[in-house]
Amino acid sequence: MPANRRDFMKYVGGTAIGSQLLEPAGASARESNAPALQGTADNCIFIWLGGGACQLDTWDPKVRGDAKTKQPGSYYDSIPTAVQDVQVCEHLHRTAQLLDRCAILRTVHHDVIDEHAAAVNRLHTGRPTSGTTIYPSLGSITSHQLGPGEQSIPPYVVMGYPNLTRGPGFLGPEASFLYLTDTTAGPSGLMLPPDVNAFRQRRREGLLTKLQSNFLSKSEGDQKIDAYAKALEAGLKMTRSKFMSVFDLDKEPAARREAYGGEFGQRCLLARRLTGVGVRFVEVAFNLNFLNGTGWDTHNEGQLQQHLMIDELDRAFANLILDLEREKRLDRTLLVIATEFGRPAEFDGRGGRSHQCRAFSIVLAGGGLKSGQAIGQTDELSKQILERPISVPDMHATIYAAMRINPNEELYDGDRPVPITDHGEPVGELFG
Amino acid sequence: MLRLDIDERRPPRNGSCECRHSFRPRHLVECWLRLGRKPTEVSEMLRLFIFSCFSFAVIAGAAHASADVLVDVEIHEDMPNDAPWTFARGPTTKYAQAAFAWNALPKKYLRGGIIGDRSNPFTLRATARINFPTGEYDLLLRSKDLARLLVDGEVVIEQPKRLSKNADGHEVTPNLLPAVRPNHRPPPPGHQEFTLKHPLGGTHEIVLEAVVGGKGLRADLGDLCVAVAGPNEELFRILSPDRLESFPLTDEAWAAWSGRANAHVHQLDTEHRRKAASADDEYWQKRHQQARHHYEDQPHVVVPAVESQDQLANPIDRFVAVRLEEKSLRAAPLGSDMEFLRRVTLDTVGVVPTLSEIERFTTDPPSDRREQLIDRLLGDPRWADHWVSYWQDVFAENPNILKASLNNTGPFRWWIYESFFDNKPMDRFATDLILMQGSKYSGGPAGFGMATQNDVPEANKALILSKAFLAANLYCARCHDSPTNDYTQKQLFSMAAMLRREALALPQTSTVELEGVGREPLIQVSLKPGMQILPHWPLDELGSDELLAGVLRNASDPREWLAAIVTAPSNERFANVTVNRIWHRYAGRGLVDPIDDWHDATPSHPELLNYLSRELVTHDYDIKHIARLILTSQTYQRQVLAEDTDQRHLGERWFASATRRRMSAEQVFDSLFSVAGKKVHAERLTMDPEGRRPINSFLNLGIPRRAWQFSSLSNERDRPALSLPVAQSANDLLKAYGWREARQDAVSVRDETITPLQPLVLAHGTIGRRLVGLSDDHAVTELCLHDVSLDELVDTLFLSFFTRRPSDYERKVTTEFLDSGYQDRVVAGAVAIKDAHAWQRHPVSWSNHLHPKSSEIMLRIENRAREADLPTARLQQDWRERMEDILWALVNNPEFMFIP
Repeated sequence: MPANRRDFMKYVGGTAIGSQLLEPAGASARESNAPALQGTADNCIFIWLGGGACQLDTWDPKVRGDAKTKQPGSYYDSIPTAVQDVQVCEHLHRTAQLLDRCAILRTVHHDVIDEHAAAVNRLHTGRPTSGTTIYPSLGSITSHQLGPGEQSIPPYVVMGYPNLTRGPGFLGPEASFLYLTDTTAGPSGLMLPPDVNAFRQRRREGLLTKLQSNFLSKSEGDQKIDAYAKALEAGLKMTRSKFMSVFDLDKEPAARREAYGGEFGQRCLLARRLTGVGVRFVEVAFNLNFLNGTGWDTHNEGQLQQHLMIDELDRAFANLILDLEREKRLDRTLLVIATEFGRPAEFDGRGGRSHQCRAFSIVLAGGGLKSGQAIGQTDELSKQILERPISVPDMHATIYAAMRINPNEELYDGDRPVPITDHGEPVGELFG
Repeated sequence: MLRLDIDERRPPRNGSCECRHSFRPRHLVECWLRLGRKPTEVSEMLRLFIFSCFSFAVIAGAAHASADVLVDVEIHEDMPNDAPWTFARGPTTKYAQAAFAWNALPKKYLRGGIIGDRSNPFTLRATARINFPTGEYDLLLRSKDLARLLVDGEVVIEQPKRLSKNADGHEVTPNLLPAVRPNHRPPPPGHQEFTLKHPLGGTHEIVLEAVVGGKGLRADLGDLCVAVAGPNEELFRILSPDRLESFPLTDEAWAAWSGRANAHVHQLDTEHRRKAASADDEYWQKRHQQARHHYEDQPHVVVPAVESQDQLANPIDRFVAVRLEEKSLRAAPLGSDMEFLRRVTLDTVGVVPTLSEIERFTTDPPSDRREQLIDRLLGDPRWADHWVSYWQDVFAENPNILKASLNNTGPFRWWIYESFFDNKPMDRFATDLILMQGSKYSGGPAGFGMATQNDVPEANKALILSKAFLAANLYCARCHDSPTNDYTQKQLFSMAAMLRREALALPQTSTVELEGVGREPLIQVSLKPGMQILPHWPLDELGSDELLAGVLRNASDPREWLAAIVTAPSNERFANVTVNRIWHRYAGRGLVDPIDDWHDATPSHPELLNYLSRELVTHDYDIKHIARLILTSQTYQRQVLAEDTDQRHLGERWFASATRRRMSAEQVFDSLFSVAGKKVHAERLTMDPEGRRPINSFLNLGIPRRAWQFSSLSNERDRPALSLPVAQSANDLLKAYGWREARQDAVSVRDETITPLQPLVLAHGTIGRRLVGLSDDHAVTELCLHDVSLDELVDTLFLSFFTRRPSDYERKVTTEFLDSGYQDRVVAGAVAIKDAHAWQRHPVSWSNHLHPKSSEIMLRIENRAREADLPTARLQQDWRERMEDILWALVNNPEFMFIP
């Protein structure tokens, strides 16, 4: 008999009736628990600014500094926004006008200071590494709890490099992601090779059906082989399904594609399309490092062309908000702009900045949250948190609550219960 | 007489050659030349031969020219920083090789045969006496760092520039250096090249001196060579005292030579390591003698008598038969010869049998062939390759090529490989691991001792060792007393203190706050933060420390104690767990399950378990002995039944029939590349090919050739300039079939849940495309270019892929599909594409990766990598595409994945 929930899922999953019974893991919790703090999001687009985006140069600007004279402060001027008393960097001018749809969390913090990999891991899994439990990422948990919006759609997509921090940990391969690093090429494994058109693919699959028939009929009754053959069939079917057209960005009007901008913008556009057909969680990495060499990790000379990155981000994000509003699903889509840490007000020897994890900004939008506010206050150089600190587990709890996942849920690593966040509390000011 | 493979014109797949000389690449070259092949064809065939040998260990006796035509190489350590050319101390390593070319150096071994570290930097000095016809020569010196060339004691060329460190990554991306002349191999990034015209005539003493590594640098040799072009010679040749070993400085020749050079270094390593290990051989012989006598005073394990005794010569079969009789279960028939061949080859060497292996097996006399096959396979060096992945999972080997952080270890995979290559006894293997000595970053067991950013690494290691060798699961005890079994945190930390060799204080981060939890806690916490825990063997029920003092080499070392307690024959658990692991590996289920946690488990065949344990202990802890016992048994060789009945399921539990197993990710990967006869052409696994970063933050895991050599690519930073696209595509395929890219925790049985996205990685992913695309380096391309009938071609395909001939239906489907255009498939006059992998060459390294140009270059290379390999021009396109479609159907046929 199945000993726990996971066994139960595997148990029923194997039968025809079982697969109809298969509900996503947290569904019952969603309905019955219904805590007061709840958003209305069905999907999440998680924009990842890898490298540590400087909050002073984006969402939490302070007094203007000067890299040449080593005067600490923001590198750019700031501008007013659609939210009273809230200013952002001048290069975020499009988003500034739409800031009433957003909420800036200015006091996110953690203690993983120096190392990118460890900080990236902390932001994605919400916990330090332990060596005994491999914690799942935000995306894996979300897709595991909610399942895909539609049958046979992969629930979790990453546009960036596959790495451990984005992975499913103890939730297993079913909570893993599909990834792509280029929107024109699409996800590896899903797209047909350029030299294999639909006709040739049909031909191949026809041959496969014939040549595997002998083996499959001889092994009828073997569950392992059966599961594999079914998975193969389901995968090939997915590549022929309507779902694949989601990757065809040429279906978008040229004007809209241009409005979104370069590759990052196209990724946001694709994310919009993916969430539109039921993909739960899309992580969109902004790693077009050829713009300034360093990406958001603006040490030294990386600082010089940072505004190009901010401009690309602004353009894509603003269009994403407007598009989702146009499709009337901004309330059902949670947008997050996250990064692994911020950067200090001081400039380094060659005009850039180092890392700062004790205070940085995360932006949320949509998802039915109470937007049009900036939560938490940092000091005059964004060095210390003055009020309302928000831990990374709090940030995760907020995202789960927005997506109507119970932030007090317990996951299971074998027999061991693992709370869905490490004592995180959703930011109450964003709900109700 | 020379006996080549099925077709005399193709090179042997595994080097079988019955000439008196026994096979050597040089000998093969001579044979092929005698057969009338042209030198360029020969170099191509040699390349194919080398690649299809696959594991770089196979070539014994490689490239040993006779004694007086060799280059003498010395490695000197601890040179004064300002005087790197003083050689007063004498070398720490000495060996000989054929030419003035290096792409790798033999390792340094410490006592016990453990990989150690050389001083950083160290200096290499190579000497040879070479005869030159009189004339004006062009000399060329290529090196990464300080180097100089001396002729008859006089410095003629000097590379004076010291390699500089680079931490910040902001250097301007350099251009690739051009080759010295057209068609030559250009210097790789970070290398310098100097040429000089110099008159030579008669015999000269040539000396090359080169510094490797330095403060803040990783001691990577890179490409190091001396080349020479005679008067009126177009091509530079690598300098060698033996004219036959002097190969042109072209990419093709360098690639062909690389395989030989790697094999030679591998052989040197084996010699040096075994010599260093021999200092401890006497001790282990004594231990094994004691072990052999251990059971003398105890009652023997009686092999039961059974009715059908005469057909059950193997004791294992009798133990199993007793249970089957009890439960009225009938044993399934044995699998067919071909099914057996495929299964046992996969189980021992991790790849499907090659065509020549199939031929060898089927031409052996039927009564002996299975036993002879087992003997061959147990003597095959690829046995080692197939065990590495297993222990990587069990020991959580988890190196990080960039700034170890997330519970990373060192790359002790090399120590695992060498242990199995040497067939190290299991007690010695476990002892090596527990002692955690040698090099941390270059592959010694000290790498196991690392667990970066872990507050108590030793506690982690104690967990891993307990599960691996004692099947005791202390995981919960990492932070509190275990609620599910009886282990306490104090027990785990006592063992951890033994590993640390001193008392341990329990840190705050390794405990749990129970105040204010708000419900009845499920756990107990009996230790308080700050408490000191002394080194102490905690698991009395699994082993005792009595009577061991005489066995220890160093009684004041708690690690020696721990190793001795775990492996002493008086403590039966280690032997039990070990033989059970081996059993599980071949049978698909253990005599005790789960194999790494025996808390609640009872053995299905306790007497058999005892019997096998005693066999292990009394045979020097040799796992090949146990393997042989298992593989020769009927129990192992039985068929897998397919019917979905209770009877069948029950039968499997009692080994009436074999359990269905799918290939592991490594077996899938290595087998497909073996069938395709291709190299992976993955990048060197490092973010710092220039070698300008220290080894404790930037590893270089080399160019991976077999699946176990791949690793996590650590691109948490999402930087295109740090991407390794071909390695990434390999990782994608491996992960799809259950390989773990990062192994933070120990696992004995992988999660092989299959989702629809996973087989798609093979069907449409980049590696999948390269396996079915008929490029010039694909074995099937070669096959198709030969003058064989379509029937024979189809036969060969099915034998290669599935170790069987096609059924009538399969033959019909395949030949009908390929018949049209078959006679005209070869394009007359077309040639193989040259430099098919030149696009992989680039100047990006850590030092310049933050420059915008580096991102641009790597994004271009990523795009190119997605396009897989160019198809051959030598086959007619339409027919080639149909052949590729057949290959696609064969590769993606589920039959390939499952062990028969």
